[in-house]
Parts: sequence; C-alpha cells; structure tokens
Amino acid sequence: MKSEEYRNTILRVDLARKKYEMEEIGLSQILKFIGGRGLGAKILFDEQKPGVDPLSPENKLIFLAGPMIGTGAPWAPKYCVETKSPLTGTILMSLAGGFFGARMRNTGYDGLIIDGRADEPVYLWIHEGKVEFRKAAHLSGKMTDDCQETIRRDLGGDKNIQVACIGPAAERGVRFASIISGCRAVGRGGAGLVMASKNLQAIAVNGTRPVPIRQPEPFRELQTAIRKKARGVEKLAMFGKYGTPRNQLIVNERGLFPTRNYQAGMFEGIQEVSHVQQQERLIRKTTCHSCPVACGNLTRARPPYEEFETEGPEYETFWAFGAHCGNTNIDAIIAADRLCDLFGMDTISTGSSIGFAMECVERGLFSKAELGDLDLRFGNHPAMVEMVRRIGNRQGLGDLLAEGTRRAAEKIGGNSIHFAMQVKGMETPAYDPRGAKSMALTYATSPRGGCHERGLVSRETFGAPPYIDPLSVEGKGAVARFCQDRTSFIDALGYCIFPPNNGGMEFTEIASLFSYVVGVPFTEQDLFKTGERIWNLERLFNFREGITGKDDTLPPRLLKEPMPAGPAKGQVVELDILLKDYYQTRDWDENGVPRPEKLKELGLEEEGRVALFWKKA
Amino acid sequence: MAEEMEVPAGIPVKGVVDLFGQKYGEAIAGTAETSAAKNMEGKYLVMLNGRSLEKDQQFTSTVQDGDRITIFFPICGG
Repeated sequence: MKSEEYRNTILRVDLARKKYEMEEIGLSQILKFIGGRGLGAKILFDEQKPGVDPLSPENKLIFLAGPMIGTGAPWAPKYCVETKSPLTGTILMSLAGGFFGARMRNTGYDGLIIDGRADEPVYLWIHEGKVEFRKAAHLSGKMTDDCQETIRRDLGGDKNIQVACIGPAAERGVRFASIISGCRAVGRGGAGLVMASKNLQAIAVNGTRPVPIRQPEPFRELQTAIRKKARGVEKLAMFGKYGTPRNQLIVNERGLFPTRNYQAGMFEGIQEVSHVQQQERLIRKTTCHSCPVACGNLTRARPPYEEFETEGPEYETFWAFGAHCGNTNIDAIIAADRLCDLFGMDTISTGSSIGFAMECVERGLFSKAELGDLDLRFGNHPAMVEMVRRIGNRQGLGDLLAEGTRRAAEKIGGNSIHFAMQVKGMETPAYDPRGAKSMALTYATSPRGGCHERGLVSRETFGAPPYIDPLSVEGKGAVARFCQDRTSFIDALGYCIFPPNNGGMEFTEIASLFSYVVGVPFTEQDLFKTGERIWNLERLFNFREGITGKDDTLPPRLLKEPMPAGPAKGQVVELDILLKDYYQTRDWDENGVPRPEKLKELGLEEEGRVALFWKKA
Repeated sequence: MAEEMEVPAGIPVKGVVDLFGQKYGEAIAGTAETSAAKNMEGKYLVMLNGRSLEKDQQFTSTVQDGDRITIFFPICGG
C-alpha cells in the first residue's frame, strides 16, 4: 500500500482473549465497496462461516463509519452495524445517526470487527487510538440512559464521550433488541442481542484525531457550496421543521397507512396523532452530527404519561404505536417510544408485535391465562404501553412477543401466520404495499427482511415527483432497483437518506465529495454500480445461509386479502408479476439467482462461486 | 388540517382548489394553475380521494358529495 493512498483503519477485537490489533483496508477495497454497509457486507461474507448461530461467539459484530462521516460534509452521521440477525438469520445491516460514528472515527479507527465472547460482562473504551477492556457487571440491568451516563462518569465525565450500549431487552434475549447511542438506535434486526450474546455491554469512544480527506481544499469548497444552496431548498426547510412524522397524513391520505395490523389502509384517528400534536409538545429541535437540517423533535408527553420525554417519535414509531395498534393517544406513543429506547428495542418490531397480538386477541387466540391482567385490544393504550415493558422484561405474553411475530405465530397457530406481518422474520413497517407496488418489491427482496429503508420509493409513498401510479405493476422492477441501489451507496458513504431525497444534494455532488475524500475520481455511474454490487453481495450472503428466492415473499394478508377501502380498495399485491419483472431488471434468473454475467460485471465472481455452489455438510 | 367545506353544486375540482387558494393564500391559489399546466413538479401534490390529479382533465371532474380534496407539499422521509 502506498503511504499516501486513502485507507481505512480497522480495530479487530477478540473479546475472549481481551486482545486487539489494528489493520488497514486499502484503497482498492474502498473503491469497490466504499465503506460502511458495503465494506461490512464484504468483511462478513469473507470472514464468517455459513450456518453460524447468530448468538454464538462466531457471529461477528462489525461497527463501521463510512468515509463521509466526520469530514464536515453535511448530513453524514450514519454509522452502521453489520452482523447476522438473530431475528431473521439473514445478513443484518442497521444504521444509526447521532454522534457516535463521527466520534469513533476521531479515535483513529474507522471501524471495529468484534469477535468471540468475553468471559464476563465488559465494555470497550476506545480513545485516541488506545483500547481498554473494562468491567461492566455494574451496568447489567441498567436502562440505556443510565448505562451511558454511568460509563461517562466512570471515565471522568467528559461530555464528548459517545457511548453505544445495550439495555435490559438485549440482556433478556429480546430478538429485536437494539443498540442505543444517545437516543439513536441501531434499531432493526436484533444487533443488540448479538452484542449481549458476546457479554459486551457497551462501546465508549472519544478522540480528536482528524478524519482523512485526500483533497481537502476542493472538498471544503464543494461542501460549503452545498450547505449554502441547501438553505434555500424549501423541501429541506419543511423537513427540518416537522421531521418525518408529517408524512403520516400524506401516506394515510394515499390509502397505504397500515391500520390495526394491516386490516385497513387509512386510520380514522390520524388527525389526533400527527405532527401537529407533536409540535404542541415540542421542547426543542435536535440534530445529528454535521447536519444543519435538525429534523429531530424532543417532545414531552402529557398526563398520564408526563414522566416520558423522548427524541421523537419518528414516522415509523408514530405508526407502530398509533394506527397499527388503533391508538389515538399521542402521549402513549411518546411513552412507548421512550420505553423502547430505555429498554433498547426496535420500535417497529415492538409495535408491530403488539398490534399482531391485538388481532390475536380480537380473534380469540389467547386464553385468559395467557393474557393475564391485560385487556390488550386495539386502542387500549395503557395496555399497549404496559406490553412494551413486558416485552422488554420478557414477562407474561411479552415473553412470546419478544420472539418476533413469525416465531410467535408459529407457536400460537390458528392461522395467525396469515396476519403475522413479517418478511423473512422481520416485521414490515409503515407502508401497505397493496397501495404501493414497488414497496412490495422492496419488502420482499430487502436483504434483512421486511424493511422499507433499503429502497423507499418516495414517488409511491409520498407522491414525490415525477408522478408514478402506485397501484400499477408496470415497470416497478426498475423503480425498486433504482431506489435500492441508490440507498446502498448512500448507506455505505454514511449519509442520511433524507436530505438527498429532498433536493439537498445531487448524485454528481455526492460522487465528487467522495472523490475528494479518497483522492480518486468517482462518478455518479460508479456510485450506482457500487450500490448494485453491495445489493448483490448481500443477496449472496443470504443465499449461502439458505435464504433464497423462495423467501422473496410477503405475508398472506397482502397477497390474498383485498384492501377493504380507500384509494387502494380492492388491491392485493401481484407479487409473481412484480418479481418476474424485478428479477429481469436485476439480471437474475427466474429463481432470483444473480446470473454469472451479472456477477462478473460487478466483480463478484468469486463470491458468486462460493455462495451459489456452497453446500451444507 | 382537515376541514369540511360546502361548495356550489356542479363545481369542478379546479374550482374547489381555487376556493382553497382564496382562503389560504397565493401559494395554494397558484397550485391549480400550475397543476393544470403540469408544472407542479417539486411543488404541491393535489389529490382527489387519495389519488393524484396527474392529468388535466381530472381538474374538470365535478366534485361529488363526500369527496376529499387534499393539497400537500410533499417531502420525502419516514
């Protein structure tokens, strides 16, 4: 490696032996996978044996900060955690904003590859290049806010220390336990449980080392110009003012806001649990590292939930504890959001599991003994909030729901799998694909399961221009692919997806900024090619785990039950037609297997050979 | 937020949007014109019962009792 070439410095940590070593990832890998999500997928694919139990010491836990994080580029706070999910068994990549990613890079490390399991609870303290394994038994059982504050106090009280930690949910084995830093969550898929399985309570980071930029002058010039231009972008200003919750109204109006466990697409109570009520409870705006938009809302609940103050709720959380549970009490939503952060749990899966349970109650699928003292019906918000606690503590019915809806439905029986709203085991979020057919493809094919973030089709969900008919199936393969590939490189770079989607940056500008960081020309076409490469690599990982085209499906409700009312009335998802079109667009065969020519084009021939011809012993 | 409005019988959708404009100001008033001219990309989304008014002639459709006309400034994120 030439000394002047851009590279990433990775810390490899062996928890069992409490040892660490530094290694470098060279420019060629970075140009091929960028960083963050892309690099994480490559490392996991190369180093992790297929068939590893996600809760075994052999499951790697990888923290990575993409190349834009910490550079001063606007809207680049999102670090990622990559592992094998204990909820789905798929590759798992989850992102979080806030300040942890940038601070991690300031320690001199762009990422952490964590192997093994410590013989006692520990936390890592990484500062100015040094690494310490510190005892963490005193942190066990603490809520995540208390855990973070305790660690800061242990380490001298410097407010610049950033901590990513697990909470009681992970310690108790909730399958969708998350990792929390500040109030930001590496939310989906159970990365927190993987961390708990390693006896790793937290990672604390602090440092002042600058983040490398190979061509700093043109970089600074361009990012300054972007920031200046962004001040005049009306969409960004609107986004900053209200954040994501405002979009509930538009999605509901378009008839694809899943209501009462996807039994309907419009929520009659939406006017009571929208951004308007949130703004009435606003304490102040919040933001992530280097972001001038500040779309976060710190809100305080009113009685009877006045003890709760939360950074949020965001759109998905509003939905998960609002329309999905038939709840019109916004203060209960704030309470549920905060409890999920404190326990360290994904709000989407938590709320989705509760809504699922509510429908089970409606259908008489639980005995009185199983329900205990809870009247868990749609709209009963005290029961909903209490169930969040019981899931976090794995108590009573919460113990079953903590397994996720797929496993819960398998135990409950009674055709409940029909309305367990999950794909590959991950609960589907706040867009009903009967009203947005490209989103059906994103849910069915996202590498980590039922996820919207991997390819959110704003043209369908929010009516963003240019116009597209959300109910048509024609041409949706290309639409889904575009959004997926775009999100892949945005994630790999460390960007938040919202500003680029709201006119904050052009793709050419993103490519130029990356070029200046790494010191090598990189075009918009290169970005999309890399995005496609990452998407295909994640698919190959899943194939090797036995998760294949047969798993590109949707819950039976979406395939067989017509939407009862609203703009999408009568619609089901014509998944066969959509998938055929999508596979062709992707240059995959009729079973969703990437063709050899496509893998060659993407430089993934060896990975394809390994993944597609690997057979279990 | 949502409000019910009585409108004259036989009024087209465009007429209702014009009424919105009179009540809520120039920016909304301009929407009907720009929408009709298909120039509204990036600005407002006008929907009739949750479906985008993407074609001019829908602006001339007559409003029925119970119709919902909504005008959004779409932002992306959720």
